[in-house]
Amino acid sequence: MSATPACQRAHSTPQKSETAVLNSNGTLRYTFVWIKSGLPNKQWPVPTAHAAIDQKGCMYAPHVLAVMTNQPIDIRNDDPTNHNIHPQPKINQEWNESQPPKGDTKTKSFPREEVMIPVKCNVHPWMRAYIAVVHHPFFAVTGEDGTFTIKDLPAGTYTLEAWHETYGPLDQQITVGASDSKTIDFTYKK
Amino acid sequence: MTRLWISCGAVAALLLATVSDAATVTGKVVFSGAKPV
Repeated sequence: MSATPACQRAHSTPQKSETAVLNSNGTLRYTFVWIKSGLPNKQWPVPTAHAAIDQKGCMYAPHVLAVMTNQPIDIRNDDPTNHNIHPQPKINQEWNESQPPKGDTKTKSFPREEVMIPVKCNVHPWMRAYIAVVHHPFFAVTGEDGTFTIKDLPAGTYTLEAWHETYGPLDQQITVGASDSKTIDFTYKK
Repeated sequence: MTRLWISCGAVAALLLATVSDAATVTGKVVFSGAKPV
């Protein structure tokens, strides 16, 4: 980051990699948790609200973004420098677009389910993010307390998966009844 | 008026039933290995 003064100036302290962020309570941040299989075959309504990913201080925020298929994603550049955002999907179409300093917001979407899509910046090689695209709303990304909540899940038996960019996927079979509140923890042992 | 109240009550009951049928899954993701660098 020090090679680009505009990026370095945005931070008062050196930035650490976000590839494995351990919270103070021993939990992992930026883990994507989702219902991988078992849902009834139906069309889930796509939120009209836009999701967003920002380029700020030459970092992506959030580092892990989860959206539904065809949900609009606003891509912003808050930095006083050029960026070139480059998602690298295997199922969806790849694209690669530059964004001038504090340039206009781009709005994109991905039509097909894909977990995960790596995102890089062609200008700043340390910049990395991941976008999860799923066809339903039953997902969450862990934050500073490492917890997740998935609401409004129909009764059924499901594969619940946690996905972490460094530690990979962990699956659990779960069964929930109508009105159940269930607690499921994942533990990565590396 | 009575019919209106009955209709409102039926809609409210239906909404409550719909909401309460849904399950919630909560949890946390724990890391038990060596502290990541």
